[in-house]
Amino acid sequence: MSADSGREDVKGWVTRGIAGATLVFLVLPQFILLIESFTADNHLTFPPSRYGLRWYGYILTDPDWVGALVRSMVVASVVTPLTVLIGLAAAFALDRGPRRGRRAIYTLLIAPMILPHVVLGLGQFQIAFWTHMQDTLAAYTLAHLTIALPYAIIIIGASLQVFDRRVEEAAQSLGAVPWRAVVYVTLPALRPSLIATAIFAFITSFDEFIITYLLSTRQVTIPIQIFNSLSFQLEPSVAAISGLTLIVTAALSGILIARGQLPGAPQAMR
Amino acid sequence: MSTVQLENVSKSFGATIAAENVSFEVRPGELLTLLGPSGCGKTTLLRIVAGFLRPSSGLVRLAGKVVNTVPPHLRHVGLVFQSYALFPHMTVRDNVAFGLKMHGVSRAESERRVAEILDLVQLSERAGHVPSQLSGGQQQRVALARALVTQPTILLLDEPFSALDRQIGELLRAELKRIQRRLSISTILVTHAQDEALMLADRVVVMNQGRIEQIGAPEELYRWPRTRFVAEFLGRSNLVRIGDVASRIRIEGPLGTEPETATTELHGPQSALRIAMVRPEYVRLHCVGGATHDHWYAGRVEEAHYLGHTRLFRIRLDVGVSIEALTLSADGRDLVVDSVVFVEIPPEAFHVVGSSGAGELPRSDIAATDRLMV
Repeated sequence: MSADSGREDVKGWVTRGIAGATLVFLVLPQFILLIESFTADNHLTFPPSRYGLRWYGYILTDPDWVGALVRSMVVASVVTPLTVLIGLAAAFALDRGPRRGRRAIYTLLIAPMILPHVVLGLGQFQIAFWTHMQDTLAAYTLAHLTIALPYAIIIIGASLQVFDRRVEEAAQSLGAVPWRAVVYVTLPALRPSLIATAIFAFITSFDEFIITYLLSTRQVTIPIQIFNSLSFQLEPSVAAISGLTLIVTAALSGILIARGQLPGAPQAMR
Repeated sequence: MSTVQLENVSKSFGATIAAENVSFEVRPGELLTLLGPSGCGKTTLLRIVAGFLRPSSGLVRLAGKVVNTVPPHLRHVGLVFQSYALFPHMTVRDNVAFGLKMHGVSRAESERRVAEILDLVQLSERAGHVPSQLSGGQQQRVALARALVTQPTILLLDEPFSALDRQIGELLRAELKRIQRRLSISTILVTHAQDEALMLADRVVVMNQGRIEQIGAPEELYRWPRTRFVAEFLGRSNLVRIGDVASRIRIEGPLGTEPETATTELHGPQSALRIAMVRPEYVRLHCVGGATHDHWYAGRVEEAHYLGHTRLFRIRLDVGVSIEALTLSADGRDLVVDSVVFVEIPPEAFHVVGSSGAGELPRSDIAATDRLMV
């Protein structure tokens, strides 16, 4: 065996080691949680002594859990299309609008990504308090929009930057009014990034804790319900809700990857 | 009536002048080439014709009508870009049908015309594919079909072969010429490649720094360039200072110290000193002889290059000028670096740069003399 193939061997093992460690640290905790969610015990223990769908049944019937779940779904469902629409408009304006002040506006729009959420949340709490918007879906929606928009602007902006404007010009020369050229040609080209933005927006909203916590008293969303539930006791309902989220997310991304619509998936490569 | 006419068109971006006082027209069925180095303003002019840029001054006419303020989608021009610019999410068929759809052509009519044009570019079998499944050459043919199917007033091609491999590009050139002649569609081709311009164009507009240097048929430009820029940009050329002593044209010395503006002033019939161009293939080489003959110069081979079907020599003449000479590669095998050589440049091989071409110097057919006499 030559020294060269020996070095290849070492390289191979290092790669495998890193991949293995990544799997263990990223996937194993979720896998354990998933197993725990199917427990029929009264407390969170691993491994469970008995299995069943008991806690899934519980979170889908208990009014507190159902309320939080519905609230989270409603907010996320409103935040998602709004993020895509506003993000698209902002990205277009930043890409094609006047150059003056472009950098300043971009920085301002991206700022929520860098600012600590506690600081953002305190400001929003103050405003919600003055305007009596605490515990309202409107307040949650606005809060989630603030932190989801930077992702939208970055993702859509990046693909607008690599988009060949000549494709749009070709459409115009073929008789398409400028807005029709955008609808028929530019938007379809941006589709992968729009889908990615929607996924990010939904997850950001569904997952948001700090600001929503500050804005709510009784009308809680899922992350706060989980937090509250953990504060009192280690009930397997937490594992069940985590399991539910995991299964839905996995199914969703599975469909997207299979259809080649998730950016980064090999089929979506241009 | 010309299909496109530019009248004193200028375009500036801030302090940069991209085009200055440009006038030309495209005759019906003609293929006009805008040729020049990058940054000479040729793409700016194309975008002005397409409607994506408005001229700072001057008039643009399409089919006789002034279109300065008409937006691109109402101009009815066909555009083909270097980057193909196909709609990536549509099949070949839908790409080609797009323009017909925008113009409200009925489905049956659209299907018929798409099939017809795909047949013309020989891509009927690929109608159901998406662009990413096609080769570069195929994609550019789709782009051509897409631009032609709406029967535009003018076809605008922006460096259409530059992104392709040389061989594919050359194949596509021939195909473009065939299609353009067959449909006799007026065409403007923008390119920086002189061989492309010479091969395809009915007339060439040579541009430099936003201005037109010369307009003419390819052969006219090659043989009788009016300016030093055209002489140097189109093909290989030797530029020398000549003196006209008792109707014997003699090379006086090298060029280079004269200011650029001198070229046009030096060509007056009374001037004893002029700048002339000699194409390397018009230079004859002799191994034996003497500088006593008229039009003969003694020299020494400085460089010898084998180029396949030709050989290129750089020869240092005793009068202090370096001359390029081109021979068929079957000849000149014995000439190596430092060989002593006698160069014959017949008077008709000189073209005084700045002159209007035909008539200034004898127009005998010099092409027949490009054989080496060793």
